[in-house]
Amino acid sequence: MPRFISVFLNNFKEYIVLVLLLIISLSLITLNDNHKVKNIRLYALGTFASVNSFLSNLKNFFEDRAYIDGLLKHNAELTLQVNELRNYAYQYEELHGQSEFIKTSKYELISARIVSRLVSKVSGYFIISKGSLDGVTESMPVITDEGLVGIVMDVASNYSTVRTYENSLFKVAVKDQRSGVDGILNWDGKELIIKNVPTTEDVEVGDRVIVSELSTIIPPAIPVGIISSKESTVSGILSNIKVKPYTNVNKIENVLVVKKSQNFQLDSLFNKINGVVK
Amino acid sequence: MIAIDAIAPDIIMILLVYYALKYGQLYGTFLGSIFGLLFDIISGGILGSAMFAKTISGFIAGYFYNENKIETNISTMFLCLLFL
Repeated sequence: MPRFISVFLNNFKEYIVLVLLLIISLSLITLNDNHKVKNIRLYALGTFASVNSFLSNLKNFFEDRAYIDGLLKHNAELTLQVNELRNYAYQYEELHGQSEFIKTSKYELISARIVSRLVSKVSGYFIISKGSLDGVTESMPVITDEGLVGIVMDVASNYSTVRTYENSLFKVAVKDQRSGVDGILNWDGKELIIKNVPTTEDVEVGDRVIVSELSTIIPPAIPVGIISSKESTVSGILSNIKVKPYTNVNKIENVLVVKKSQNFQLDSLFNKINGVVK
Repeated sequence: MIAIDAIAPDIIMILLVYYALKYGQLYGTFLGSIFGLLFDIISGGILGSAMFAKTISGFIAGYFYNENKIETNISTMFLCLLFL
């Protein structure tokens, strides 16, 4: 028996060593979260880094390190300055477009800057630099010179929260500008979509989508986007229409709040209708 | 050191294949595991992952260890290129 074992070990020693080493490596993989292993790794990494730094210093012994560091710092400062100037250039273009839009718009507009934004594909919000002191109130539409952006949800004295169209709670009555077909536009987490439009309706890819007269919050005729595709549902009776928005909420820096004139007559009519319905 | 568009040769693998072909399978397997372990420790990656890969590499490279084959330099070079 011992002879058999020794023959076996001698014949298959490479495979046995391989299996053992693989088992060790696999067990090391499983022990990665262990504190002791982490400490060893940190210690080894620290040692390696210090050795590397020493070797690097040795290599650069004859170089004027202070001068190079100064140049590197200066270079970083210049890069930041260039970025800042480039940013000003972009903002200038954006603000110039908006000022032209304000001149020609029939609505009273409040110009605001985006202070902060919540990056989410389901619930998009951002905070703008204008609040109740500037005349902003809840449910005011927020636009750019390109199109609709969102609706004001909460208002503080100097800041307001805007619900952007990239929000599953965002819904607005829209229509096809060419054919006048109405629908409700909402965000499905990926794109703007008008659901359940009868397939018989005259809607074509490339048509402009604007806010409909049916919308009680947003003034009509504000551009929203362009129809990018039309997909029929399983039944084939209805279709879902995807809309590509004109504005990209992730890129804009400045927005305009549409100051709604209080139409008391219209409000009283709505109240009457609601009273009758109730 | 030498890289074309961030694609650099794996120096550890070159050394490993060289020694495995020169000294044999057992040597290659051991050397692969040691190289892999050291690389894992230094790189700060998952400990054991490079060890696993390099051990197998050393084992396979050592499989081609043969005194006759060492003499045929072209095939050795081809094998080195294959493992790279």
